[in-house]
Amino acid sequence: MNGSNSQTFAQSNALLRDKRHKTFKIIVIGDSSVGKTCLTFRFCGGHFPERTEATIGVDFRERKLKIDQEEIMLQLWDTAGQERFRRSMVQHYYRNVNAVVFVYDVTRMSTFQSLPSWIEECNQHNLNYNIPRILLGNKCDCKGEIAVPTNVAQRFADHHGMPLFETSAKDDSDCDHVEAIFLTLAHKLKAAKSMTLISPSQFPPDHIHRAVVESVGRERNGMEVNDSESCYC
Amino acid sequence: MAFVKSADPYLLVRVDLMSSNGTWEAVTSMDIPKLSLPDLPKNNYSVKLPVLFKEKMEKTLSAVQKVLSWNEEGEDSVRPARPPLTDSEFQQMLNGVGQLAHPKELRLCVYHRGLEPSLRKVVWKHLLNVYPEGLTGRERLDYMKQKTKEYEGLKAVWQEHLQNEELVSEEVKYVTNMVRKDVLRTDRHHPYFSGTDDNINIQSLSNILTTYALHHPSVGYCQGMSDLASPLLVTMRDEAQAYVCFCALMARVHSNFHIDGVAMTLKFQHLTEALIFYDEEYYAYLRLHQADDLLFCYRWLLLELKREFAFDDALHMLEVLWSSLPPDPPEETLPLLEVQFNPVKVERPVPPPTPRQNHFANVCALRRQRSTLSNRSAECLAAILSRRAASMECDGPEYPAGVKKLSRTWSQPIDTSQVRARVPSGETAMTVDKIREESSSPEDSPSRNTRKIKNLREFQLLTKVRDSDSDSNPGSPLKEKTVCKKSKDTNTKLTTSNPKTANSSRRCFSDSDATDMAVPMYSDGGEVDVWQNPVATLSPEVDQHLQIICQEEKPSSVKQLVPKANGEHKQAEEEGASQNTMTASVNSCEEVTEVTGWQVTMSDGSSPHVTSLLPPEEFGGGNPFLMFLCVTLLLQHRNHIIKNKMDHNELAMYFDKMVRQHNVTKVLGHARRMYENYLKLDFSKMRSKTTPPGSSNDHSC
Repeated sequence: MNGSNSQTFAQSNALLRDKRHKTFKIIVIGDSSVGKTCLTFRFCGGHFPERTEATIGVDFRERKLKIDQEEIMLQLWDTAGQERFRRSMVQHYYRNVNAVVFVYDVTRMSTFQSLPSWIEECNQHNLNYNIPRILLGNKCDCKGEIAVPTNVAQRFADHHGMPLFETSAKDDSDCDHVEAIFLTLAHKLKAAKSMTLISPSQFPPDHIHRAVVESVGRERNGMEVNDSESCYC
Repeated sequence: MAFVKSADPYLLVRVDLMSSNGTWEAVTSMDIPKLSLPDLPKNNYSVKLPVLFKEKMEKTLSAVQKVLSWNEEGEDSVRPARPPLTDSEFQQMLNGVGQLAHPKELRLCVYHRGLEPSLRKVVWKHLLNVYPEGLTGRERLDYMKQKTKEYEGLKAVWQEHLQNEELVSEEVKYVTNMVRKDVLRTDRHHPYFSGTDDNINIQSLSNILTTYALHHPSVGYCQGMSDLASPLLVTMRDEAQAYVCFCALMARVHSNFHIDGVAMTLKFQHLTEALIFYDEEYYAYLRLHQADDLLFCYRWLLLELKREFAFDDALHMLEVLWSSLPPDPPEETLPLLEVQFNPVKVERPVPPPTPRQNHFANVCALRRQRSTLSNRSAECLAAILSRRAASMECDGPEYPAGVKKLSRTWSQPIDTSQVRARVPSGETAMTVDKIREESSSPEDSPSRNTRKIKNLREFQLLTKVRDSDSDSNPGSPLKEKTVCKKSKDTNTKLTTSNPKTANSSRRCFSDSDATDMAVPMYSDGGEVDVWQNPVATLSPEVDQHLQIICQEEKPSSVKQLVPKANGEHKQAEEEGASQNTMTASVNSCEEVTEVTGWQVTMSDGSSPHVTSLLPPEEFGGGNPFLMFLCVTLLLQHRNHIIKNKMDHNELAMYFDKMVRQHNVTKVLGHARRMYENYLKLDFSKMRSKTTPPGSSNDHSC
C-alpha cells in the first residue's frame, strides 16, 4: 500500500509538472561583486537594484517568458562569489543545469583572470558539454575605468567557444542589453541547440547583438515578453 | 537551561486548571490569577516577582487563548508581544556597586521580552559575554576603556602597514579588498550606513572586520561576517566597543565560518533531526521533493537569521537568541586577538583557498554526497537510532528480549520484510536491518559500538563530525558509551521496581511526547505536562506520584492524543487540493515512522525517558534556540508549501523571497513555545554525562 501510493503520488506530481511551464535552470557564476546579483535582478526584476548585499549561498530569481507562443520559465541561480562559498555552488547546483553564465567585471582585470578557474570548475562538474555557456562582461557603463579590452575578452570567448556580451546591469543603453542577452539564451534553450556549436563566424556579436537590442525594445518592462521575432537565433 | 524552571509556573497553573475545571472552556481569564497565586511561593525567585508573575500570567492567558482559538487560522500569533525590559527594571538587577547580581534573571527577562532599544548598548555587552563575572559599574567602564585602547593598538598595526604601499602583503590586500566590497553593501538601507560610500560608519565597519580578520588568521574574513558586525556597530555607535562585541560574538560562532564546514554540517544535521522529530510528514514531503538537505537554510544558520528579519526586528530577535544561551563570561578578560598580526612575516598560510577547499563546498558535499532520496533520512535516522540504540545497549541486559512492545495507532510492530519493501534504497534497508539485528541481541554488547559504526556509512560520517566537534569544544564531549554506562543505574532502578507500572508509564510518556512533537503547545491533560517536567521525573517522590497517575491513565485518552498531533496541519488536508500530497507524505512518512515506532519499542525496553533530540548543551551546536527558530520558519510555511506542491527549487526561491519579511513576534512566540516544551523533555540521562559539572545549575533561575 505504501509503495503504490507513493508511486501514484509521484505520477500525479509528474503530471502536474508537465502542465507547468518548461523551466530552464541557468546558473550565474563569477568573482565576488562582479554584479551577478544586479544582472539577474535587472532581468528578473526589471530594474537595477539600488542596493544589493553579498549573496550568502545562493539566491534565486525567475522570470516567465513567452517564446514562439510557448511559455517558458527562466530560473536564475545567483551564486555567491566569495572564496569560501564559491565553486561549491557549481558543484552543488550543476545538477540539471541548462545554461551557464560566466560574469566578469570589465573594470577589474582580476575578475577576468579568474575566469579560467571558473570554466575549469564548470568542466569538471558538468558532464554535458553541450549546454549553452555565455561570457558576460559587466559594468560597461564605467567607461573611463575599463580594464579588460573587448578584443582580449573576445579572443578568450572564442577560444572557449562561447559568445561574449558586454553589458551593464546599471545602464545598458550603450552596450548589449541585459534583456536581449537573456532572451537570446532563452531562445537557444528552447531550440535545444547548443550555442557552443555555433561557430563565432555565424555569431558575430558586434552586429547581431545590436540588432537584437533594436528589436527587443528597451521600454519593455513587463514580465512576460513575446519576442518571437526579435531574436536572431 | 534557564527556562526549564521558568516554565514551571506555567505548567503548574495548567495542572491546577485541569484538576479544578476539567475543561479548557470553563476557564475564564479571571480564574487564572486566583489559581496561579498559590504556585508562586514554590519558586525561589529572588527578584522581580511581580514582573515574573505578570509574565507567567500572560503566558498562561495566551495559552488559554490559544486553546480556545485552536481552530482559527494563524494560531501562532495569539500570544501578544510583551513590553521590552526597561532601564529601571535593569537597574534593579544590579547591586549597590553596579555588579550584575542576577545574570540569569536578566537573560530570562530579555528572552521573554527583549530590550528597549536604548538599553541595548549597555545590556548587549552582558548578553554577549563581553565582561568577566562580577565587575562593578566602575570596573566595567575601566575594562571597556582598556579594551578600546587595545583595539586601537590592533587597528594601528595593519593601518600603519597599509601606509607603505609597496610593502603591503597580499594577505592584507586581499582582506581589505574583500571587506571593502562587502561593507559597501551591508545594511545600506539603514540610516546609519546610508548615503554615499564615504560614510564614516562604513569605514568603521570595515576597520572592525579587517582588524578581526588579520588578528584571527585561522578564521580570516568571510562573507557574512559583515552582517554579524553591522548590528553591533549600529547599536554600540562606537567602533572599538563594537569590535569587542564582535570578538565576543565570534568566539561563539567563528566555527560557522571555518573552511571545513563541520560546524555548519552539524547544524544542518540537527535541524534535520528536529524537523523529523516535530513533523515527520513535512520532512517526508521535503524528502520526496529532494529538499530534505535543507540547503536553502544555509543563510539562516550562517547568519543566525539576521537577514531573515527587518533590521530592527533582527536586533530584537538577536537579543532574544543570545539570551537563550547560558551566561558564558570570559575567565579574566575577553581576548581581542588570536595571533598578533605581524606584517613582517609575509608567509602566512591564509587564503586564498584552493578551489575545492571551500566552506560551502564542504557543507554541500557532506550534505549531498550521496544520491539524495533515501540516504538523507537514513543519515538522520541513523543518528536518532544510534542514540536510542546506545541507550538501549546499556540497559538491554536487564531486560528479557520479549519486552512488551509499545503499540501505537500509527506504528504497528513491524517485521523486517516490510521494512525492506518500504525503504526505497537497499542501503537504507540494510541500515535499518543491521541496527535491528544488533539491537535485538543485547548480549554481545561489548563490541557493538565499533561494529555498528562499520556498518553505517552515514553514521560513520556523523560520528566523524561529532568527534571533531567535541574535540574543538571540550565542554561537550560526546562519547556514547560513557553516556550509556552512567545512565544505566538510575533507569534500571526506576523501571525495574514495578515493571507493569513502568510499562504503562512508558506508553503515557511516549505518546505525550509525540503530541508535543507535532503541536508545539499542550493540547491535552495536565498529567502529561507533569510527565515532561525533568524536575519532576528526577525527584523520587514525584516519580511515585507519576506512577500513580500513570496507572490511572486510560488508554482512550492516549488514543485521543494521536489525531490531535496532526491538528495543526489539518487545514492543509481539508483544503483537498493536496490530497495526493498528503497521502503520499503520510505514506512515505511511514517509512520513517515505522522505524521510529520500532525505536520507541526498543527504547521502551530500556527507559521511559528517551528523547531523540540532543540535550540543549549539544543541540544546534550549542545554540538550541536557533534550531527552534529555524524549525518555526519552516513550519510556518508548511501548509503553503505543501498546498502549492512546491518542489526543491520553488521552496528555495520561496524562502529566499522571504528575506527580511518574517514576522518577528510570531516567529519568536512560536519558537519560544517549542523551545520551552523541548526543555521539558527529559535529558537527565544524557545531561549527566555530557554536561560539565555544575553547568546545569547555571541554567536554572
